[in-house]
Amino acid sequence: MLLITIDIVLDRLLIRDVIKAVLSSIFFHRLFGSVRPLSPPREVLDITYPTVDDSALDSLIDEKLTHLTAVLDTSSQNAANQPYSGATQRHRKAQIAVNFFEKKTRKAWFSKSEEEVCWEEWTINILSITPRNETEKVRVAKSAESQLQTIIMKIIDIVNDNRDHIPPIATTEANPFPYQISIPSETEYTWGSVFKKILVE
Amino acid sequence: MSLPAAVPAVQDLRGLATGGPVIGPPVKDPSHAAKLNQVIQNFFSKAAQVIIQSRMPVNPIIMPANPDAADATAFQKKTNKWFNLELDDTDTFRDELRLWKAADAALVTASFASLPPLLIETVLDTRDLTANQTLVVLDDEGKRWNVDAAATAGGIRADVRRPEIVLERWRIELDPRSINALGVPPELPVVYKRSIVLFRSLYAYVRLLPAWRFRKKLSKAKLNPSSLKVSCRVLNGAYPVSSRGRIGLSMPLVLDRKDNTQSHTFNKIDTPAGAFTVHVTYRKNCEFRVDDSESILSSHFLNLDEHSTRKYANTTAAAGSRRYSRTSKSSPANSLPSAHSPSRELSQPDPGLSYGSLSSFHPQSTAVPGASPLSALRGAVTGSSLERESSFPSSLSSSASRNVAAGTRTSLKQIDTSRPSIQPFKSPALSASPSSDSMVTGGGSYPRLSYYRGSSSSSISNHQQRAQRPNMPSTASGGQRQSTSMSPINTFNTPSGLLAVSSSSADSSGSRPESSRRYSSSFGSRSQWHHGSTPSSSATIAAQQAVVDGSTGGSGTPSDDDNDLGEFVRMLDSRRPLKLFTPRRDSAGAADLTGVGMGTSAPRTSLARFQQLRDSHAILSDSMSASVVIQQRSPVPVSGSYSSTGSGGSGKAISPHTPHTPAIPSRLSEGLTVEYYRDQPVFEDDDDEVAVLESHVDDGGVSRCRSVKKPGLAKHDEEDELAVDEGADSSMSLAPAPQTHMAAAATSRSNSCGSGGMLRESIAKRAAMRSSPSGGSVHSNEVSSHGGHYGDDDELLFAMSDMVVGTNTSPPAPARTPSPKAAHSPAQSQE
Repeated sequence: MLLITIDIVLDRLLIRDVIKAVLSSIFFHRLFGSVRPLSPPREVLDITYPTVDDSALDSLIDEKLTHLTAVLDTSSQNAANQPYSGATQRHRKAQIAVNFFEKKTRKAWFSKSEEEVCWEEWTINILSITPRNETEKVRVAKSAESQLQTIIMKIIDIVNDNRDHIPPIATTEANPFPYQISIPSETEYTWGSVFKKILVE
Repeated sequence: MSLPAAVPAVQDLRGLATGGPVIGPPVKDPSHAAKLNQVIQNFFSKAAQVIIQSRMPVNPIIMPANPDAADATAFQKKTNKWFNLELDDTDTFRDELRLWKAADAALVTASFASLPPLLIETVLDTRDLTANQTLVVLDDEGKRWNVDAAATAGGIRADVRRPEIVLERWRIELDPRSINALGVPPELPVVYKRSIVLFRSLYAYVRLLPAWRFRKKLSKAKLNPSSLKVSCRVLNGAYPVSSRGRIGLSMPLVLDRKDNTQSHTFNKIDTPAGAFTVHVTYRKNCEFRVDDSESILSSHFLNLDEHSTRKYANTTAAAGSRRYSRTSKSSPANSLPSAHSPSRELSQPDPGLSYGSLSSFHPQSTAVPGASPLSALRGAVTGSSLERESSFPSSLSSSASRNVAAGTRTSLKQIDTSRPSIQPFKSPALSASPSSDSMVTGGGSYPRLSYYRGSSSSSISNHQQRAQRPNMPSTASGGQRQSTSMSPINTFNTPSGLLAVSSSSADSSGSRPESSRRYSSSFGSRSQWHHGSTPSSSATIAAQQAVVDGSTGGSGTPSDDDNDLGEFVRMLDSRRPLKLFTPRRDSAGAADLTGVGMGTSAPRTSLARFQQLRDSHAILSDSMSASVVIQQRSPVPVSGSYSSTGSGGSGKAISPHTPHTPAIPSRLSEGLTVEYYRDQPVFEDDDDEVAVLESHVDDGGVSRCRSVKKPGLAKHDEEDELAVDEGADSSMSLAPAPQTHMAAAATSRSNSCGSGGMLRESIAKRAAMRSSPSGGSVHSNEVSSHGGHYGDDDELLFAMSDMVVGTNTSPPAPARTPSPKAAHSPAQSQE
């Protein structure tokens, strides 16, 4: 299983568009079925990014992004109520993860069960900041632009340099590998949450 | 081999993937050999298509939607689904690609030479440039480099202009030599799976390179046909690539930079027939522009100057005097040409925006003010800006405005006496849309404007003769070119003509024959300049808008008419009415402004048509008028001086970035990232956060006039810059808002790139103001605590972004023009 982590610092108001570009770029490289790139391609911050022409995936991403921004806004309320807790008002963290699974059939002694085994996980760590003024806002946008370009380039490098872990494509389905987008809420992505997750599983 | 067979082949390979029989070496299994051949052939053709389709328009292959049905009316584009990437199939370059589409793995294995590398070049076609146009390329800091000069420096004869510049060279090859090292050749399904990844990433990658950005810009400006074209060339890699007759990839164009190109190789894919690789070498600076031949001169000297005086002196006197000397170097006779460069830089997307008018006033305005009233007006505006700027500290005052003003003092005085000396808009005169300024000052003087066109061509050729470039023929040879550069002039004609209309027939928009005749005559002039360039049409709207907005400022138009007038002009500005009159253009085009253009024979019918069209254009005109606000506003804070200032001390704040950053390891732990942010003083003081928010709230209600005036005020009051801060902020935060309309209007006519650039520069200017000695001490302190290198907290953030993504080697920001969306999305989601 390959774990990839992406860190990005964004204006709270840019998060939705920029993270969408990152997610789209990841999925574009990881939906191994036959895809048609969205044409004309989408752009954010003058950067063109590839998108699979798949309305279902698109709405899933939108839904998750809504969740993500909601988490950020909730955490901001919490931060307002709590004393200084590491993150100031204007700096907030969030995380969104994409997992790709391989369907495996496991034969037990008396039963056959299908399970999904994760072969790749992308974690995007987002630091959300709220610019104090317009100049800062412009600067943050500029920085977001360069970060996004770097990140898409990096995605391209990663997928090209790491190919051996991709499971064989054993199906003619449109998408051979199930995927999942998850957003741990703020309290969850501490170590405690990891244990909790394990317990749940 | 043939593409219809391609799709079944994909399925076959999938079948193999599901656990079919173990594939032996090619020789043992003929069907396997055939499949391998198919894969190899499609490697080449698909890679070529992915690249070519991102760089130039191609012909799709149209075929019957249902070949079996008798119904032959349903057609669809043929899709190439190879490697699970569905693209329109095309026969562009079919012949050139034939060699690779017929590749045979067995032959390749036997003889490497049988399948040479496939080379695809992306080239910039400059054949359509006229002799008085100069091609420049912008470097990362926005400095312009004359391509011809660079070519000459590179050993090309100065009198020959190369019609082609190589931007990228892709090499796609199958190297059988690696086969031996391979051991067990990978199975085809593995090859296919890896190829899926490769082609996906190739598809994404071609859209991140500088050439894509450049082409995107060109196509966004397609209503204003550029003389530049990007196209592709398919070459056989067996032969050496020749730079004969063109500017090769290895010839540097940005001369102060060692490496003008960068390379990237995609991870190879091992196949039973060899290793398949895709490699690209590309120019890092692909932002080309067409410039007036002379403006580049000043820029050239400016560049030289910058190099010798990198350390930018801050004192007013030093800066001022140096600029003077620099300009006089570039054009001793009269330093006018330097006036071009600032406005030039700001009006990037329209190659000819104001050259005709700017240059023409020069020879005439001092001698015969009446002969070229427009230029005189411009001079007047410039002069007033000079007065303003003289109270403005050093770094923002420009050689350009000073020189222009100096050159036209006399005419300016004359004009000044004949009109209210108050500028309705506190906008710098050399802003990229001079039309609005001049229009405001010249609201009532259209008869003089109308005969300006006659004198313009001669003055242009005068101007050209003074050009110091030896290979530039003077004259009107630039036929089409000139009409473009003249368009702003005609722009003036139109609104002023309409002003006349509105004053004579205030309330009826067209039933009277008299007014109808005037309407049609204004069409005559409009159609002419519409031939030239489309952006000028938005300049016209800007002018119109300025008239409307500024009418209370003394332009003499009855204010009651403004709305009707503006509406009518906006209606005119949609394309369809123009098309209606297309057949008549030629005759109408030559008509005088007051003239007979359409004649009186058919005015009634045509006006009736207009009125029908009116509703359908309402939406369009709304969005356009919104975009006009930008056109008009965004240049405002950017005095012409800024460009020269920018390339000096604060220039780095504009565009310190490479257009494209190599992929870099970006591993900073999250904790570190946060830590780093917390250390930044910039982010620690929340003092004015609330205030800023308030100013945001204000934004919605701020009137256009106010927003236009604000930057001017800020300039006046720079002494207490901090106090003005809020106001300036709000005026800037206004800017993003119209971008919404901007985006809507982009498809119709406004050039979003350009305005975006202007917008950003206007913002950057504010940043520069902050760092000026008198204001923004808070920020300066922060910066210096960070480390003396950065002159502005702009830089600070860039530095931070570098840290965050883990690149310390080169600044990452790829583009110097933030898309409208960049500014726009925050504004939108803010609600």
